[in-house]
Amino acid sequence: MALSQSTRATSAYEASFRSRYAQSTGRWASLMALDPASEIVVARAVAGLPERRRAVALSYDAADETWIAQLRARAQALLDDAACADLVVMIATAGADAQAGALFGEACRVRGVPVTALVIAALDTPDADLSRTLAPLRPIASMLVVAQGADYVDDMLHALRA
Amino acid sequence: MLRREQNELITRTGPGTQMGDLFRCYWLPILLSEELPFDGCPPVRVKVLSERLIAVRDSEGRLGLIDEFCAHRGVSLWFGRNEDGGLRCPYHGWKFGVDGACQEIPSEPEESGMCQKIRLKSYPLIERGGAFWTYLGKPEFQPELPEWEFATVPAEQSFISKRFQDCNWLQALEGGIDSSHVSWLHRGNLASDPLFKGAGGNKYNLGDMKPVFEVVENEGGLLIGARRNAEEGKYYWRITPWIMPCFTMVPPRGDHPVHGHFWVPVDDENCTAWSFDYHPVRALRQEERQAMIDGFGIHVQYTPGTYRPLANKDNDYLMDREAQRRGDTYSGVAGIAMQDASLQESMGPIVDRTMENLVSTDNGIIMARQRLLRAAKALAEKGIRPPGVNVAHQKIRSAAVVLPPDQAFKDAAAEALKVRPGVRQTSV
Repeated sequence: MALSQSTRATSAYEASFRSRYAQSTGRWASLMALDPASEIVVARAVAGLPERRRAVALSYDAADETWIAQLRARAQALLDDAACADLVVMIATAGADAQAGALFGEACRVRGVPVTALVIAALDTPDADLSRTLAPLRPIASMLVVAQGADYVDDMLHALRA
Repeated sequence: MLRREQNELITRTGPGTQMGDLFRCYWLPILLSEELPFDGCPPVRVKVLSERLIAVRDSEGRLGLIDEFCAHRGVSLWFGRNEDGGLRCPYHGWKFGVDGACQEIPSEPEESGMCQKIRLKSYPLIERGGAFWTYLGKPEFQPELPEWEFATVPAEQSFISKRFQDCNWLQALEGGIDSSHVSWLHRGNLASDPLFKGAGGNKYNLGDMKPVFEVVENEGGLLIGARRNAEEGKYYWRITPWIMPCFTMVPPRGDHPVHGHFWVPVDDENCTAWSFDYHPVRALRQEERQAMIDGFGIHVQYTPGTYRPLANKDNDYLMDREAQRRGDTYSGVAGIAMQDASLQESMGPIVDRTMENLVSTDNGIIMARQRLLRAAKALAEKGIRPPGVNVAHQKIRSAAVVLPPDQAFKDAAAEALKVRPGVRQTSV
């Protein structure tokens, strides 16, 4: 009996004939730390593949009540920084105030740049701390990830070809 | 994407491989109860984690899983005679117990001691929840017996089936983690499948084709929350747990039974998809059980006398282009299980993950791979037991809930995600 198309096509032998021509170009990622602890994580990730990743410095002082106004003033420059990216990745430590990220993320969304937000939380992180960080990011992120370790950042970026 | 060496490591589960060592930390289902139905019944060939074995239920009702091949000259003991507390090779009469110990070598004088020097490799075999389970790891690390809820509720509340799938286990598992495909591939079934239709949550699935995902690491694996818009600014969440290494649960729909899977490697190019349905607080209705037997929901119709799906690659999965054109099915393949399996098998026996272009909605898959690789490395280098071994990790449920926008599903649905005896599943 003749083999069906599917039987033939799904063999390991036939799989070896899959086209090896490149079918995508690498992706650019803009990485943004939302709190001081995450700046180290961002710096490490950028150093891992600087030709594909770059840090976008939000650098705000939450203690300064004028930071939102300052951020708005810098929004255009920040957006220009991020606009060339295929993906914006925001990184925060659980418990951090992510409002600045939310504001910037809203602008990214308007520009059509997808945002992934990654919150680093230990297993014993209080729920309230995690929720405080997640809540403002939820409306603007197409993907929210809560990871236990910072090593996930590099793995995720690599998996996304960024 | 994965690097080539990562893809090799994560997909190979034979003896001596890192991922194989990881799998050998867990109890795995290998046979349905119906396959060893009575004491002294015929033995059954089993291949799991690239080891060829034979399952035996001896005349005294003892269970065992032993090397398939006779220690004498390598005859398959599938031809053996199950008699008087052991399995006798028909070639020269060597006889083995369910523990692999050689009981008799008829040609040798008893006083030679030859018999005491022969023992086949053996593994424990237990029956629980309509299936036989084995543990292929070191005896000193054997974990507590499995406590998955579907396997511990009364038999009238559960149904379990298995089917062979012709691809690497990880391709199948990743389909179980990736719930974003449901709105596409299975959309035709939400309204027609008797085990899915009528649930209030279905309208959210079909009304919002761009779910947003939140992935949270937990003790045993991951919780993957898929969020869709509901009324009044609220979100409809479907929460899928993945417990390492190969257990996933589908979020429930209405009062339909809850279902899920194990994806167990047979060898590196084949796996067994285990599919279970159960209801936490009531017996399955006759029409529900019949629908499962008939291959609806996550189950399949079989090629008679086998556990191979009736629709399979040899018949092009009974592809129906007219049904595809009409929209009865999105891919042209009937049935949720075979819609998944056909696409996963089409990738080839072991998909080349260096060629992938993942997007942010694949983060559940990315994180599951990372956790598997991390756990395999920790086990190999430091002897750390992996997540999911602890039975506390197994006491988990999937859930479907509607929540206000400011609530994290992990917290708001924390109780819904726990096994609570006597309490029904949380569903919409």
